[in-house]
Amino acid sequence: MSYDEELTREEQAALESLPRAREPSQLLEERTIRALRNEGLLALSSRQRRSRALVAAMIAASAVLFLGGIATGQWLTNRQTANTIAAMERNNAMQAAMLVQRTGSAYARAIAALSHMPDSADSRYVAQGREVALTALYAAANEVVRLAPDDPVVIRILQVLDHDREGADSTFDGTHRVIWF
Amino acid sequence: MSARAAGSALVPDRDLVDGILHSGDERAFRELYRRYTPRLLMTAMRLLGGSEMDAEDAVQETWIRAVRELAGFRWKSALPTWLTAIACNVARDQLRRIRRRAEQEPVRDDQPSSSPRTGETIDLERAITLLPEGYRTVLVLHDLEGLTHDEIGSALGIAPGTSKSQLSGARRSLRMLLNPVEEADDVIR
Repeated sequence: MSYDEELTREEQAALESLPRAREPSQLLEERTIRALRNEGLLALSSRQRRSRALVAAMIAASAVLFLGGIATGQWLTNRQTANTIAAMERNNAMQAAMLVQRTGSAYARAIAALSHMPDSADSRYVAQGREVALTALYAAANEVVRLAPDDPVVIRILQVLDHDREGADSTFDGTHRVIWF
Repeated sequence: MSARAAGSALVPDRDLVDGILHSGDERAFRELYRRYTPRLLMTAMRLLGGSEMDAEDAVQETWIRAVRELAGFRWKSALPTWLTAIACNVARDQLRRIRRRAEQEPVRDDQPSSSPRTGETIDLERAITLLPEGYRTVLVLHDLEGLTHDEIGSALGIAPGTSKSQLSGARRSLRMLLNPVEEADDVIR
Protein backbone atom coordinates (compact mmCIF):
# COMPACT_ATOMS: atom_id res chain seq x y z
CA MET A 1 0.00 0.00 0.00
CA SER A 2 1.54 3.29 -0.99
CA TYR A 3 1.22 6.53 0.99
CA ASP A 4 -2.46 7.54 1.01
CA GLU A 5 -3.30 4.65 -1.28
CA GLU A 6 -6.95 3.73 -1.60
CA LEU A 7 -8.57 0.76 0.05
CA THR A 8 -9.37 -2.18 -2.18
CA ARG A 9 -12.99 -2.78 -2.96
CA GLU A 10 -13.00 -5.79 -0.62
CA GLU A 11 -11.42 -3.83 2.20
CA GLN A 12 -13.88 -1.02 1.75
CA ALA A 13 -16.77 -3.49 1.78
CA ALA A 14 -15.40 -5.12 4.90
CA LEU A 15 -15.14 -1.79 6.66
CA GLU A 16 -18.64 -0.78 5.55
CA SER A 17 -20.08 -3.99 6.88
CA LEU A 18 -18.96 -3.19 10.40
CA PRO A 19 -21.75 -1.95 12.68
CA ARG A 20 -21.86 1.81 13.11
CA ALA A 21 -24.07 1.96 16.17
CA ARG A 22 -24.60 0.19 19.43
CA GLU A 23 -27.62 0.57 21.68
CA PRO A 24 -26.61 2.01 25.03
CA SER A 25 -28.13 0.83 28.28
CA GLN A 26 -31.07 2.79 29.69
CA LEU A 27 -28.90 3.34 32.75
CA LEU A 28 -26.42 5.39 30.72
CA GLU A 29 -29.10 7.82 29.60
CA GLU A 30 -30.34 8.35 33.13
CA ARG A 31 -26.91 8.80 34.65
CA THR A 32 -25.93 11.23 31.89
CA ILE A 33 -29.08 13.28 32.53
CA ARG A 34 -28.39 13.22 36.27
CA ALA A 35 -24.80 14.36 35.75
CA LEU A 36 -25.97 17.22 33.54
CA ARG A 37 -28.56 18.26 36.08
CA ASN A 38 -25.97 18.18 38.84
CA GLU A 39 -23.78 20.49 36.79
CA GLY A 40 -26.75 22.80 36.32
CA LEU A 41 -26.67 22.26 32.56
CA LEU A 42 -30.20 20.85 32.41
CA ALA A 43 -33.28 22.12 34.20
CA LEU A 44 -35.26 19.86 36.48
CA SER A 45 -38.38 18.32 35.00
CA SER A 46 -41.71 19.65 36.29
CA ARG A 47 -42.27 16.41 38.21
CA GLN A 48 -38.89 16.73 39.88
CA ARG A 49 -39.52 20.40 40.59
CA ARG A 50 -42.84 19.46 42.16
CA SER A 51 -41.25 16.70 44.19
CA ARG A 52 -38.40 18.99 45.33
CA ALA A 53 -40.91 21.71 46.19
CA LEU A 54 -42.93 19.16 48.13
CA VAL A 55 -39.88 18.03 50.07
CA ALA A 56 -38.92 21.65 50.74
CA ALA A 57 -42.47 22.42 51.87
CA MET A 58 -42.47 19.37 54.14
CA ILE A 59 -39.16 20.40 55.67
CA ALA A 60 -40.42 23.96 56.13
CA ALA A 61 -43.67 22.70 57.67
CA SER A 62 -41.75 20.41 60.03
CA ALA A 63 -39.49 23.29 61.03
CA VAL A 64 -42.50 25.57 61.62
CA LEU A 65 -44.22 22.89 63.70
CA PHE A 66 -41.07 22.23 65.69
CA LEU A 67 -40.30 25.90 66.33
CA GLY A 68 -43.97 26.61 67.00
CA GLY A 69 -44.01 23.81 69.57
CA ILE A 70 -40.94 25.20 71.27
CA ALA A 71 -42.34 28.76 71.25
CA THR A 72 -45.71 27.64 72.61
CA GLY A 73 -44.03 25.58 75.32
CA GLN A 74 -41.83 28.48 76.30
CA TRP A 75 -44.74 30.90 76.30
CA LEU A 76 -46.82 28.58 78.49
CA THR A 77 -43.89 28.02 80.84
CA ASN A 78 -43.12 31.74 81.02
CA ARG A 79 -46.74 32.62 81.62
CA GLN A 80 -47.01 30.04 84.37
CA THR A 81 -43.75 31.20 85.93
CA ALA A 82 -44.81 34.84 85.76
CA ASN A 83 -48.15 33.99 87.33
CA THR A 84 -46.45 32.01 90.05
CA ILE A 85 -43.95 34.77 90.77
CA ALA A 86 -46.70 37.39 90.78
CA ALA A 87 -48.77 35.26 93.14
CA MET A 88 -45.77 34.73 95.38
CA GLU A 89 -45.03 38.44 95.37
CA ARG A 90 -48.68 39.22 96.10
CA ASN A 91 -48.65 36.68 98.94
CA ASN A 92 -45.34 37.95 100.30
CA ALA A 93 -46.46 41.60 100.20
CA MET A 94 -49.71 40.72 101.87
CA GLN A 95 -47.92 38.65 104.50
CA ALA A 96 -45.37 41.41 105.04
CA ALA A 97 -48.14 44.02 105.42
CA MET A 98 -49.94 41.78 107.89
CA LEU A 99 -46.70 41.27 109.77
CA VAL A 100 -46.14 45.05 109.94
CA GLN A 101 -49.68 45.52 111.11
CA ARG A 102 -49.36 42.80 113.75
CA THR A 103 -45.97 43.99 114.94
CA GLY A 104 -47.05 47.63 114.96
CA SER A 105 -50.10 46.75 117.01
CA ALA A 106 -47.92 44.73 119.39
CA TYR A 107 -45.51 47.68 119.58
CA ALA A 108 -48.32 50.12 120.40
CA ARG A 109 -49.83 47.66 122.86
CA ALA A 110 -46.45 47.15 124.56
CA ILE A 111 -45.92 50.88 125.03
CA ALA A 112 -49.50 51.24 126.27
CA ALA A 113 -48.93 48.34 128.67
CA LEU A 114 -45.76 49.98 129.90
CA SER A 115 -47.56 53.23 130.59
CA HIS A 116 -50.25 51.35 132.52
CA MET A 117 -47.76 49.61 134.73
CA PRO A 118 -48.10 50.72 138.31
CA ASP A 119 -44.40 51.41 138.56
CA SER A 120 -44.29 53.35 135.27
CA ALA A 121 -43.60 56.38 137.30
CA ASP A 122 -40.17 54.93 137.98
CA SER A 123 -37.92 57.11 135.85
CA ARG A 124 -35.52 54.20 135.04
CA TYR A 125 -38.25 52.16 133.42
CA VAL A 126 -39.75 55.20 131.74
CA ALA A 127 -36.38 56.05 130.19
CA GLN A 128 -35.85 52.45 129.12
CA GLY A 129 -39.33 52.22 127.67
CA ARG A 130 -38.87 55.53 125.88
CA GLU A 131 -35.54 54.45 124.40
CA VAL A 132 -36.99 51.18 123.18
CA ALA A 133 -40.03 52.91 121.72
CA LEU A 134 -38.03 55.63 119.98
CA THR A 135 -35.37 53.24 118.68
CA ALA A 136 -38.07 51.02 117.25
CA LEU A 137 -39.85 54.07 115.83
CA TYR A 138 -36.58 55.32 114.31
CA ALA A 139 -35.85 51.94 112.74
CA ALA A 140 -39.41 51.72 111.46
CA ALA A 141 -39.26 55.26 110.03
CA ASN A 142 -36.00 54.38 108.29
CA GLU A 143 -37.68 51.43 106.61
CA VAL A 144 -40.79 53.40 105.72
CA VAL A 145 -38.71 56.11 104.06
CA ARG A 146 -37.43 53.43 101.69
CA LEU A 147 -40.98 52.60 100.74
CA ALA A 148 -41.99 56.25 100.37
CA PRO A 149 -38.87 58.45 100.11
CA ASP A 150 -40.89 61.69 99.71
CA ASP A 151 -43.37 61.06 102.47
CA PRO A 152 -43.30 64.35 104.51
CA VAL A 153 -44.60 62.72 107.70
CA VAL A 154 -41.85 60.09 107.76
CA ILE A 155 -39.22 62.69 106.89
CA ARG A 156 -40.37 64.88 109.75
CA ILE A 157 -40.34 61.95 112.19
CA LEU A 158 -36.77 61.10 111.09
CA GLN A 159 -35.65 64.72 111.40
CA VAL A 160 -37.05 64.97 114.92
CA LEU A 161 -35.62 61.60 115.96
CA ASP A 162 -32.22 62.41 114.38
CA HIS A 163 -32.18 65.68 116.28
CA ASP A 164 -33.14 63.87 119.48
CA ARG A 165 -30.42 61.20 118.94
CA GLU A 166 -27.76 63.85 118.27
CA GLY A 167 -28.67 65.50 121.57
CA ALA A 168 -28.63 62.14 123.31
CA ASP A 169 -25.17 61.36 121.85
CA SER A 170 -23.74 64.55 123.28
CA THR A 171 -25.06 63.67 126.75
CA PHE A 172 -24.35 59.90 126.42
CA ASP A 173 -23.08 58.54 129.68
CA GLY A 174 -21.65 55.34 128.11
CA THR A 175 -24.42 52.97 129.17
CA HIS A 176 -27.35 51.84 127.14
CA ARG A 177 -30.45 50.85 128.90
CA VAL A 178 -31.63 48.43 126.29
CA ILE A 179 -30.03 45.21 125.14
CA TRP A 180 -31.08 44.34 121.60
CA PHE A 181 -31.42 40.78 120.55
CA MET B 1 -26.32 9.79 10.40
CA SER B 2 -29.49 8.28 11.87
CA ALA B 3 -31.12 11.73 12.09
CA ARG B 4 -31.12 11.99 8.34
CA ALA B 5 -32.24 8.40 7.91
CA ALA B 6 -35.20 8.84 10.22
CA GLY B 7 -36.82 11.40 7.92
CA SER B 8 -37.98 14.99 7.97
CA ALA B 9 -40.48 14.56 10.83
CA LEU B 10 -37.61 14.87 13.25
CA VAL B 11 -37.11 18.13 15.08
CA PRO B 12 -33.97 19.74 13.62
CA ASP B 13 -30.81 19.51 15.72
CA ARG B 14 -30.60 23.29 15.88
CA ASP B 15 -34.06 23.59 17.52
CA LEU B 16 -33.15 20.96 20.08
CA VAL B 17 -29.86 22.70 20.81
CA ASP B 18 -31.72 26.01 21.23
CA GLY B 19 -34.08 24.34 23.70
CA ILE B 20 -31.15 23.08 25.76
CA LEU B 21 -29.35 26.42 25.64
CA HIS B 22 -32.34 28.62 26.47
CA SER B 23 -34.14 26.62 29.09
CA GLY B 24 -32.05 23.54 29.84
CA ASP B 25 -34.85 21.55 28.19
CA GLU B 26 -34.42 17.94 29.29
CA ARG B 27 -36.76 16.60 26.62
CA ALA B 28 -34.73 18.27 23.90
CA PHE B 29 -31.56 16.81 25.32
CA ARG B 30 -33.05 13.30 25.52
CA GLU B 31 -34.02 13.61 21.87
CA LEU B 32 -30.49 14.57 20.84
CA TYR B 33 -29.02 11.94 23.11
CA ARG B 34 -31.13 9.16 21.59
CA ARG B 35 -30.33 10.39 18.12
CA TYR B 36 -26.55 10.27 18.42
CA THR B 37 -25.55 8.12 21.37
CA PRO B 38 -25.68 4.71 19.64
CA ARG B 39 -23.14 5.89 17.08
CA LEU B 40 -21.00 7.69 19.67
CA LEU B 41 -20.96 4.57 21.81
CA MET B 42 -19.76 2.39 18.96
CA THR B 43 -17.06 4.90 18.04
CA ALA B 44 -15.94 5.22 21.64
CA MET B 45 -15.77 1.45 21.97
CA ARG B 46 -13.51 1.20 18.96
CA LEU B 47 -11.31 4.07 20.06
CA LEU B 48 -10.97 2.56 23.53
CA GLY B 49 -10.08 -0.89 22.26
CA GLY B 50 -13.40 -2.62 22.81
CA SER B 51 -14.34 -1.99 26.44
CA GLU B 52 -18.05 -1.23 26.64
CA MET B 53 -17.83 0.00 30.22
CA ASP B 54 -15.08 2.49 29.39
CA ALA B 55 -17.01 3.47 26.27
CA GLU B 56 -20.14 4.29 28.29
CA ASP B 57 -18.09 6.46 30.64
CA ALA B 58 -16.62 8.21 27.62
CA VAL B 59 -20.05 8.81 26.10
CA GLN B 60 -21.35 10.32 29.33
CA GLU B 61 -18.32 12.61 29.53
CA THR B 62 -18.76 13.48 25.86
CA TRP B 63 -22.31 14.70 26.45
CA ILE B 64 -21.31 16.68 29.50
CA ARG B 65 -18.51 18.43 27.60
CA ALA B 66 -20.76 18.92 24.59
CA VAL B 67 -23.60 20.55 26.53
CA ARG B 68 -21.08 22.68 28.42
CA GLU B 69 -19.60 23.94 25.16
CA LEU B 70 -22.83 23.99 23.17
CA ALA B 71 -23.11 27.79 23.30
CA GLY B 72 -19.79 28.03 21.47
CA PHE B 73 -20.77 25.63 18.67
CA ARG B 74 -20.96 27.69 15.46
CA TRP B 75 -22.55 25.06 13.15
CA LYS B 76 -19.58 25.19 10.77
CA SER B 77 -19.59 21.39 10.86
CA ALA B 78 -22.47 19.00 11.37
CA LEU B 79 -23.42 18.41 15.00
CA PRO B 80 -22.56 14.67 14.87
CA THR B 81 -19.10 15.46 13.51
CA TRP B 82 -18.55 17.90 16.36
CA LEU B 83 -19.78 15.31 18.86
CA THR B 84 -17.50 12.67 17.38
CA ALA B 85 -14.52 15.00 17.73
CA ILE B 86 -15.38 15.55 21.41
CA ALA B 87 -15.81 11.79 21.94
CA CYS B 88 -12.43 11.24 20.33
CA ASN B 89 -10.72 13.63 22.73
CA VAL B 90 -12.53 12.17 25.71
CA ALA B 91 -11.44 8.69 24.64
CA ARG B 92 -7.81 9.82 24.31
CA ASP B 93 -7.90 11.32 27.82
CA GLN B 94 -9.41 8.11 29.09
CA LEU B 95 -6.78 5.97 27.38
CA ARG B 96 -4.08 8.08 29.01
CA ARG B 97 -5.66 7.45 32.40
CA ILE B 98 -5.99 3.73 31.70
CA ARG B 99 -2.35 3.55 30.65
CA ARG B 100 -1.21 5.37 33.80
CA ARG B 101 -3.27 2.99 35.93
CA ALA B 102 -1.83 -0.03 34.10
CA GLU B 103 1.73 1.22 34.63
CA GLN B 104 1.13 1.42 38.36
CA GLU B 105 -0.31 -2.09 38.59
CA PRO B 106 2.11 -5.04 38.85
CA VAL B 107 2.36 -7.19 35.69
CA ARG B 108 0.78 -10.63 36.07
CA ASP B 109 2.09 -13.63 34.12
CA ASP B 110 -1.30 -15.35 33.92
CA GLN B 111 -2.95 -12.48 32.01
CA PRO B 112 -3.84 -13.53 28.44
CA SER B 113 -2.09 -11.57 25.71
CA SER B 114 -4.30 -9.48 23.42
CA SER B 115 -1.87 -9.80 20.49
CA PRO B 116 -2.63 -12.53 17.94
CA ARG B 117 -0.34 -15.54 17.78
CA THR B 118 1.91 -15.82 14.72
CA GLY B 119 -0.14 -16.78 11.66
CA GLU B 120 -3.46 -16.47 13.49
CA THR B 121 -6.32 -15.04 11.45
CA ILE B 122 -8.40 -12.46 13.27
CA ASP B 123 -11.49 -10.53 12.28
CA LEU B 124 -11.51 -6.91 11.21
CA GLU B 125 -13.09 -5.62 14.42
CA ARG B 126 -10.41 -7.19 16.58
CA ALA B 127 -7.67 -6.06 14.22
CA ILE B 128 -8.84 -2.46 14.62
CA THR B 129 -8.67 -2.69 18.40
CA LEU B 130 -5.11 -4.03 18.10
CA LEU B 131 -3.86 -1.04 16.12
CA PRO B 132 -1.67 1.50 17.94
CA GLU B 133 -3.80 4.29 19.40
CA GLY B 134 -2.85 6.98 16.86
CA TYR B 135 -3.46 4.71 13.87
CA ARG B 136 -6.69 3.39 15.31
CA THR B 137 -8.06 6.86 15.99
CA VAL B 138 -7.45 8.15 12.48
CA LEU B 139 -8.71 4.95 10.86
CA VAL B 140 -11.92 4.94 12.89
CA LEU B 141 -12.57 8.62 12.27
CA HIS B 142 -11.80 8.49 8.56
CA ASP B 143 -12.77 5.05 7.31
CA LEU B 144 -15.67 4.36 9.65
CA GLU B 145 -17.03 7.76 10.69
CA GLY B 146 -16.34 9.50 7.41
CA LEU B 147 -14.51 12.54 8.77
CA THR B 148 -12.23 14.38 6.38
CA HIS B 149 -8.53 14.86 7.11
CA ASP B 150 -9.22 18.51 7.83
CA GLU B 151 -11.89 17.60 10.38
CA ILE B 152 -9.63 14.97 11.93
CA GLY B 153 -6.79 17.47 12.04
CA SER B 154 -8.91 20.05 13.81
CA ALA B 155 -10.39 17.48 16.22
CA LEU B 156 -7.04 16.02 17.22
CA GLY B 157 -4.98 19.19 16.91
CA ILE B 158 -2.76 17.78 14.16
CA ALA B 159 -2.03 18.81 10.59
CA PRO B 160 -4.19 17.19 7.88
CA GLY B 161 -0.99 15.77 6.38
CA THR B 162 -0.23 14.00 9.64
CA SER B 163 -3.72 12.56 9.59
CA LYS B 164 -3.09 11.23 6.05
CA SER B 165 0.20 9.57 6.95
CA GLN B 166 -1.35 8.09 10.11
CA LEU B 167 -4.15 6.66 8.00
CA SER B 168 -1.68 5.06 5.59
CA GLY B 169 0.19 3.50 8.49
CA ALA B 170 -3.08 2.33 10.01
CA ARG B 171 -4.23 0.65 6.82
CA ARG B 172 -0.85 -1.04 6.37
CA SER B 173 -0.87 -2.32 9.95
CA LEU B 174 -4.43 -3.50 9.58
CA ARG B 175 -3.52 -5.56 6.51
CA MET B 176 -0.61 -7.11 8.38
CA LEU B 177 -2.86 -8.05 11.25
CA LEU B 178 -5.51 -9.52 8.94
CA ASN B 179 -3.15 -11.33 6.53
CA PRO B 180 0.11 -11.80 8.41
CA VAL B 181 1.62 -14.35 5.99
CA GLU B 182 0.84 -12.51 2.74
CA GLU B 183 2.05 -9.20 4.08
CA ALA B 184 5.27 -10.76 5.36
CA ASP B 185 5.85 -12.26 1.89
CA ASP B 186 5.26 -8.82 0.31
CA VAL B 187 7.79 -7.28 2.64
CA ILE B 188 10.39 -9.98 1.78
CA ARG B 189 9.77 -9.56 -1.96
